[in-house]
Amino acid sequence: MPGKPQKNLEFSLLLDYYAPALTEKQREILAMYYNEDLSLAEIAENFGITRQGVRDAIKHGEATLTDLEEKLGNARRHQAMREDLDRLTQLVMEIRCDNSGQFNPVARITRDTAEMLKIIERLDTQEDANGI
Amino acid sequence: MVKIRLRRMGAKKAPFYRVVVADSRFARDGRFIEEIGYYDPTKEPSVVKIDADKAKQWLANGAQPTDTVRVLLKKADVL
Repeated sequence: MPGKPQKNLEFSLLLDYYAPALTEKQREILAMYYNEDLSLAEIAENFGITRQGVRDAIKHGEATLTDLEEKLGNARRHQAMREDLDRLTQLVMEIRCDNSGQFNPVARITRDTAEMLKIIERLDTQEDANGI
Repeated sequence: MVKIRLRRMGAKKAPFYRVVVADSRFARDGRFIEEIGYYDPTKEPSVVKIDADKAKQWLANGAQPTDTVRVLLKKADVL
């Protein structure tokens, strides 16, 4: 892609994980830049600071986010976990469907797969609730 | 100036963006004029859905897309 480099929206996601590790100003500026898609000039105007000041805050904030993700890998791990949970749900549903399609469905399979789905859902929401 | 920009929606850790038309004077308080599409990067491959007619109309009326939106408009074959 020719022209100016694009915003990397990955930072918007990293912000969900590591925002508390940033200064309040970095946090606000990065959120405007990535979540509201404002330009440097617009952010500068909102804060009454220079465009260069905004740029520096963004660069420092991004460096912190990148560094934390490299060391902690929460975003990476969470993403992998999500995918695994999705696949697991799919597999359990397949077993449930196979069973309920039988002339004589096995009660235990119906009951146990229902419990499995509940556990998966709980893991999924726990993952979301976890902070940094 | 009227701008076409992304606005993040969606839950924590599950980003989802609307493509909105907004007046740059209201950059601060999140008001927007119209929603013309969305972008979902969580899907593989990511999903871009933009109302091409509305987008073209706004562009013809001088609305400025941000760099990020410009890329999406290209993906959606509007630009």
